[in-house]
Amino acid sequence: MGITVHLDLLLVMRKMKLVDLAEKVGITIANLSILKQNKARAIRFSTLEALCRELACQPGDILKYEPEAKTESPGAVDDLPE
Amino acid sequence: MDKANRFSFAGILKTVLDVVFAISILWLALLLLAFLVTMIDPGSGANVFTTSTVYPLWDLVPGHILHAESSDPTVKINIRPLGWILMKSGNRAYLLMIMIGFFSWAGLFSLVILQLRRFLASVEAGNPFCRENASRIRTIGWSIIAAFLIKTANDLSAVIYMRRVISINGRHLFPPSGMIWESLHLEILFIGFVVLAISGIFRLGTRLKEEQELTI
Repeated sequence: MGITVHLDLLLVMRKMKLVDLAEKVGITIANLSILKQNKARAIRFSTLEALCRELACQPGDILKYEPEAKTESPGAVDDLPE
Repeated sequence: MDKANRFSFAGILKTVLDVVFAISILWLALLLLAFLVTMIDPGSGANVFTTSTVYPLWDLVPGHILHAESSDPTVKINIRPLGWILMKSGNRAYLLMIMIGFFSWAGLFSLVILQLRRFLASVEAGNPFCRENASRIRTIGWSIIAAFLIKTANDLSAVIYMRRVISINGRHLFPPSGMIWESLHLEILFIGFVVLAISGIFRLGTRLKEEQELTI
């Protein structure tokens, strides 16, 4: 999974629409939608700062890290004997 | 150079390529017609396929040329002053070899023109770094390399054929090594490799652009 964006949850909690948030943050609805759908490759600190300011939250409230599922493979680094 | 000037230059180049492409198609159509006529009747007088070469005859024949002969009855030879040898061949096998090589080379040339035109159209639209352009430039590079191989094989075959068929004062025409090297046109191969390298740059540029677009 990696880094996931929980923007939709925060929008519901703050009772804010995507359109309004995009206007306040200063980015397009299309870009905000890309971010919300976890399709973005990167986010600028300035954008993250603006989101936290408008949603009155911390970066950790918007971004969460979820470890990717490990595949079983012989010879993987984690499988080496100590 | 501002945006408007850059794109108008691409537009002008695209127009030039359109004209070149149209002329080359017309020229190919006329050549195909002449080729068909010549294949049906090699002695019809519609022999437009000649081989011209300058050979340093003073290396082979001291003094002046006395007589040139052809071992192939369908081949007519004409020796001009300063050592120019003009050969008109009615040999169907030879003509077929020359024409397959020529039309393969011309087909690749047309492919390059088409790809270049589409590339310039994308530049004019303000979107040069896209996956299609990286693919187009790679196609152009490989087409140039293929054209080099075809042209080299064709030219060398023609040289070998001439060597076998033409004799001057009873001695077979012996192409000097320089003639063979001149048939290689290694600069075409070099340009093909350069274009392939540029396609790698465009592939990287496309990746960077996509990452930039998905950076919020």
